[in-house]
Amino acid sequence: MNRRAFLKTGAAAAALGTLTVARTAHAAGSDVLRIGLVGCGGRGSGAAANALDADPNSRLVAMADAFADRLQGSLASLKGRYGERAAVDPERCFTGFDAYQKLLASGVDVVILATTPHFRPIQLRACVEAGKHVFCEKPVAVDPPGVRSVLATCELAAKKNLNVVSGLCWRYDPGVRETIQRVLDGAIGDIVAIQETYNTGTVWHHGRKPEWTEMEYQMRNWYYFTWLSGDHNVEQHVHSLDKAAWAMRDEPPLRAWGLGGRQVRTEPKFGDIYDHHAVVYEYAGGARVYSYCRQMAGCSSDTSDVFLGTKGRADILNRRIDGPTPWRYAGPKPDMYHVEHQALFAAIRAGKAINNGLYMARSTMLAILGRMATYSGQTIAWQDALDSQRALAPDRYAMDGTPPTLPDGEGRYPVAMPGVGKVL
Amino acid sequence: MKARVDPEVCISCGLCPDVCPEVFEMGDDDKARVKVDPVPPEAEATCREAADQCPSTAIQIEES
Repeated sequence: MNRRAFLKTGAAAAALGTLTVARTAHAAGSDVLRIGLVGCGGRGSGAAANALDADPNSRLVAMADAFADRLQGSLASLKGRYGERAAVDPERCFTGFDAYQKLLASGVDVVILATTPHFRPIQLRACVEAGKHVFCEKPVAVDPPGVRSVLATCELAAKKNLNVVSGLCWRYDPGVRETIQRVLDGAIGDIVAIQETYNTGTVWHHGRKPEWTEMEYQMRNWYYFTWLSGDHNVEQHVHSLDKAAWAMRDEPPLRAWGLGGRQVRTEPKFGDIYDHHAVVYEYAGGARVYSYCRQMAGCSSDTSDVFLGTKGRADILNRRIDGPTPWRYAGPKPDMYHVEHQALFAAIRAGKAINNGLYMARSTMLAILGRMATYSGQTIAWQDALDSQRALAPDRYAMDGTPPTLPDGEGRYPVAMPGVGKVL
Repeated sequence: MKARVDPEVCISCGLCPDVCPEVFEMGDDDKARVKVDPVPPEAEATCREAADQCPSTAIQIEES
C-alpha cells in the first residue's frame, strides 16, 4: 500500500465511521465517551491514562498499533490501573499499518493519535473525515507536505465542529501560559531575541532482531530515522520552538539557517538523524530565535526558554519575568498533561470545539525548517520550505516494504551532508 | 533497580509521575523525585518507560 492508497483507504474506512457518531449526544455529560488509542507506546499509553483521568465517564474501547506486543503491553498496564474502564475487547485490538482504519470503524468517539510522527497527517485526516474528536501528539508531521495536509485537515475539523487538541502541552500549563501572556502584553517590551535550548542526554534504542525486516527494524527504532521521527530537533525540540512561536504570535519567520551534524552518535544503529542542531530563525522586524538542541551523553544538560526584550527578560520554564517590574508565577500548578485532556473532554461535553491546528502545524513546520537548514547548510525561506513537495515516505506501508532510507553493506545509512544534499 | 532524578535537569513537566506513579512524585520544589528505593519489581517496567519518556533525560536507571 503506497502513501496515496493509504490515505484513500483510510478515508473510506473513515466514511463508514461517520455513520456511528452523534457528537451532540455527549453534550449532556451523562453518556460514555469511547476512546480509541492509536499508537500504544509510552506516550500513547500515558495519554490514554490522562484521558481516562480527565473524564470519569470515559472508557478506552479500542487500541491500534503497528505491533501486537506493544499493544498488549500497553493494554495490560492500563487494565491494571483502570480495570474495566480500560478492558478493551480483543476484537477491538488492531495491529498493523492499517490498524487505525479498523479502530475508526469500531465505534469510538475520541481518538488519541500517538504513533510515530510520520503517520500523523494521514491518521489525523482519517479521524476528522470520520467525525472523531482528536488528541494529536506532537509533532504533527515530518515533512512539508505533511504540514500542509494537517493545516487542511484542521480547517475541515473546524467546519465539522470537531476538537483537535495538540500535545504541545506547555500551551496548557497555567504558569507558562500566564508568563507568555505577560510577555505578549508587553512585560519585557518588544522581543529582541529568544534562546531556545533542548540539550539532553541520549534516548532509548531497541536493538535489532534477526527475524525483523528492515522496515520493522526502522519502525521499532523510529526515533533514529528522519522519515519517521523528523529528527530529534523536530520530535522533541518542537516543544521549545512552539514556545518561541507562541511568543512571536505564531507568525512564521522569514528564513532560517543553521549548523548541525553527527559528532558522537555515529554508529550505524543510530540511523540517519543528527545529534546536534543549532538554528537561527530570522523574523520580520529583526527579532531572532536562536535554537539549540543536542542529544549527547556526558555533556551539560539544559532545557530552557529565555526571551530577551527591550525592557526585560522572561525565563519561561521558571515562570519568571525580570526587568522594571519583576514577576514570579504563584498560581496553581496542575499537571499540564491532565489539563490538556480535561480541556478536550470538557469541550466535547459542552458541545464546543478546540482547534489547535494552526499552531501545532506551524510549530512543527518551524522545526522542519530548522532541519532543512542544518541538513542542507543553506539559508532557507519559510515559504519555500512550506511549499516544498519533498515527502519522506516508503514505497508502501508493509513490514516487507522498502523504507526511504536503506543501509549500505556496512549497515550505515546515508546521512545528510551540508552543502551537498538538497532539501527543497 | 534504582532510579534517580537529576533535579538540575528536571523541567518539572510532571510526566514521570503520570507514567510511573509507583516510583515518582513531584516534590515541594516542583521537581520530580523518587519516592521508593529500590524500585519494586512490579514497577520496573513502567519505571523504565518513565525514564525513556522523560523529555529532558533527567532520570537515570541503575539496574541491580
